[in-house]
Amino acid sequence: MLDTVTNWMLTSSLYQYIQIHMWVWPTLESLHFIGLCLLYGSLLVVDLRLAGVFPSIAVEKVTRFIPLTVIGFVTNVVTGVLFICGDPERYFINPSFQLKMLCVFLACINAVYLSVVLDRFQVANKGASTTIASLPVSIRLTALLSIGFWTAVIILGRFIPYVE
Amino acid sequence: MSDTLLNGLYWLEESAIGEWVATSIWGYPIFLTLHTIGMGTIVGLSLMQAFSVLLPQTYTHGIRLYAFWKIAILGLILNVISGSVLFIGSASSTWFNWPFRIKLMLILTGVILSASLTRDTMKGPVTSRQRIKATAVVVVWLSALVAGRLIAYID
Repeated sequence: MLDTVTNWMLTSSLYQYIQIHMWVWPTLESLHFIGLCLLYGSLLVVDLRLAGVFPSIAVEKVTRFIPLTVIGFVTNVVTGVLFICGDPERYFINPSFQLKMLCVFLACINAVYLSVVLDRFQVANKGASTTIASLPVSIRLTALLSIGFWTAVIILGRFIPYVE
Repeated sequence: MSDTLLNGLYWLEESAIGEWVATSIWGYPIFLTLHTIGMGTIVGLSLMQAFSVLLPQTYTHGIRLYAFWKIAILGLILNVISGSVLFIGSASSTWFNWPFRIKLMLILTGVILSASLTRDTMKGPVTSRQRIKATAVVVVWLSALVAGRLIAYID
């Protein structure tokens, strides 16, 4: 299955384009890092607050940064797919890349769960101030787990060239 | 180029830290990873601060986002320490790399601008001067990211 996908990518015009034009790879890397900073910066604001840090800030105000998380994530998915298209033989068999993808998947599941429990909490406490430090333990732990998963994604991404 | 400078750069490379980073299997990737986490923290939080000034209706200016500057400083410290170790490992070549020099200047400018913007946001409503500063914060930090990427591609 992976061999078929790899061979298909190797014969694609996109692969040829990325290989021939030397400006493409550093441009993709730059965009990938910009996406990383948008994703990680906005996550730190949201998740640290949900984890109980800076309790004087209202939760509904920090959650407004989530669209920036999504923009960063989409940027990194697009550039990440182009990295794979440009060098498919390197990525699919790389254990660090495989673990990174697992962590991205778990981080996404964790984010969906966090949004569900946060919505329930906000509906149950409608009208009440969320500047108090009384978020449920499930929300706090999930927020900490989110920071942990995305930090692991950064670590594993950085190790890709070194565990071939 | 002075011999003293070049000798100093070689001395750094041949130091215990320099040798370890350059020759050990895990030295370079570990500090590169720490550098990336530090970068994500300082640049990411600086960008969030700037966006809260540029789009105060959306990102609610004045929500005490400046409290996160302490976390950003931790990221900066991690970045400076890991960056110094990485530099020591290849001091004689990195020092003469123009993207590296430009990156250092941009980081210095970015830190000064972000610290100043953080002080401004403690004061009150958004002013046009703060918006200009926030725009500069975004441009400078994004340029620093690009310059950092180009270190590996341009001598």
